[in-house]
Amino acid sequence: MSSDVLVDLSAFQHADTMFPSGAVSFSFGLEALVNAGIVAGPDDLAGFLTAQLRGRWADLDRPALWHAHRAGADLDAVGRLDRLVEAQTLGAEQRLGSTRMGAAFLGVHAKLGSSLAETYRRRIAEGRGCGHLPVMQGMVWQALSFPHERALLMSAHGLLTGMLGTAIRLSVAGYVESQRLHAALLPVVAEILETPICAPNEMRGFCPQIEIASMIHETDDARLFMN
Amino acid sequence: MTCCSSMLERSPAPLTDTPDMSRRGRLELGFARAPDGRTYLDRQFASYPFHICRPFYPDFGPARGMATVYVQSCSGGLYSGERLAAEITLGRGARAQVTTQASTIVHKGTYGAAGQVCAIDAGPETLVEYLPDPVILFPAARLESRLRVALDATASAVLFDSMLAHDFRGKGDGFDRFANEIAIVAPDGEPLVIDRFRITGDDFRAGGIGRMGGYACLGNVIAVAPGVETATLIDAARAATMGLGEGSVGVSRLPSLPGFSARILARDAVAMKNAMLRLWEVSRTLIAGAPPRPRRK
Repeated sequence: MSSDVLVDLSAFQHADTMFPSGAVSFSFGLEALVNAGIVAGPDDLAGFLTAQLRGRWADLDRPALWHAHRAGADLDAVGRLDRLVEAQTLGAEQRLGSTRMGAAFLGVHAKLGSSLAETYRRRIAEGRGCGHLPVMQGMVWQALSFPHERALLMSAHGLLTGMLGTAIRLSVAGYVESQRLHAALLPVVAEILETPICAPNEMRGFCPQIEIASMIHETDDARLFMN
Repeated sequence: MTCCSSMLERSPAPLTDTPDMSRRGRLELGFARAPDGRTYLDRQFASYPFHICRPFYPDFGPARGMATVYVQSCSGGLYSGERLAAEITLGRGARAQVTTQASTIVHKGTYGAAGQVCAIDAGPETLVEYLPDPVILFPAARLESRLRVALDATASAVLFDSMLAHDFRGKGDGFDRFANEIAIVAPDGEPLVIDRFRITGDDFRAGGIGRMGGYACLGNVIAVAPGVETATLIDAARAATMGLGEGSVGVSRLPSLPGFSARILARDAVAMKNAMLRLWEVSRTLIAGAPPRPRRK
């Protein structure tokens, strides 16, 4: 079996929802929008997912992952990206979601033998890192020899499956409808991937309604998800 | 200077598509605290189109002596290719509000984007309120706007940033594009809070769930208050903006700094302004110990 096939198979393993990333606890702001009646069905859900992809992933999470992948084992450079994502995530629940998922991701990789993941976990424990998920993915996936193009696909896949899984649990979409939506959003991901990766000092996002919903969600006592 | 801050230092450059039209305006305001506690302007410079009057002192009580300066413009807004730069510094203990007399209209960007940059440097134990009225983007407008605030760890700040579009011909024409950046940095340049977006007029008009959500106006308020319990400040900010019918307001704890960030989506400028002023009032009340007196405009 060629090494390329092994890398592909390994990528499937790491991008699979079976991989314990902790994402099941987070709604990416969707629960608040559902509770507010703003997202009530598949069409609304498509709008929400598109906003997440274009307004957050395209020019914030994606470049953070890409630059962390380039930084690799240069943990000071990874740390600077980590702090930039922290500075650019203005909602506390969104920061919590990203860092909790990052911590779960690092924890699993540390148990699987990644010394880089273990080292960065120590930095977080010492207050020298936050552990935002896209930055951690870039760092660890580079060490696992996933090319950066593949790492971006894994990230987009994980985000889509995570959000659609949340939508199913919130009863906004059924299993078949979620697969239809997943397929419909793939061209959006492909279009984003055609755009240049911005520099760290140009990373940006624009999802004000999701951010507001997430901020309001902080005081919702009846929430199912952590964000 | 850290690597991150040097990255940030490079970011101001992208007034990219703006040809050098040699239409530059500069404003420099330096505030200092007198021995009697009053804040005065110890340095001022204003070139066209900026205009300033003497400071006003509308507040009584604990904020007595806090200076308020209205920044005015001799022109009818921001024009294509124009570049305006403002620099505001506050020495130890100074307290000042800088505001505008009215909204800033951004005109058609025929010759490239208009650019405005404001840099604030707030020293120890200062209180700075930077409360400009909204920018109003006219059809085909292009604007690149940056606010960079360097805060001492003991400095308090309230910052406004808001925008709306106005299609005065009613032909369905939107602005061309708007790039906006707010960065709060530590004295050593380390970025602590960054809010940066780039949108096109089409994005804005499309509204869209998750983005503008069908609202017409976007406002941001940031309050940094090292002397106030952050949970208390956030509770007060949420209570003050509860039940605003024509808008949606979210308030959350800032990353790395004591204080809050608030986002506002509103149906109209009045509702947005109302929410922003309430957030300013509760912030001032907790930071200075008494509510502010309203500013006349």
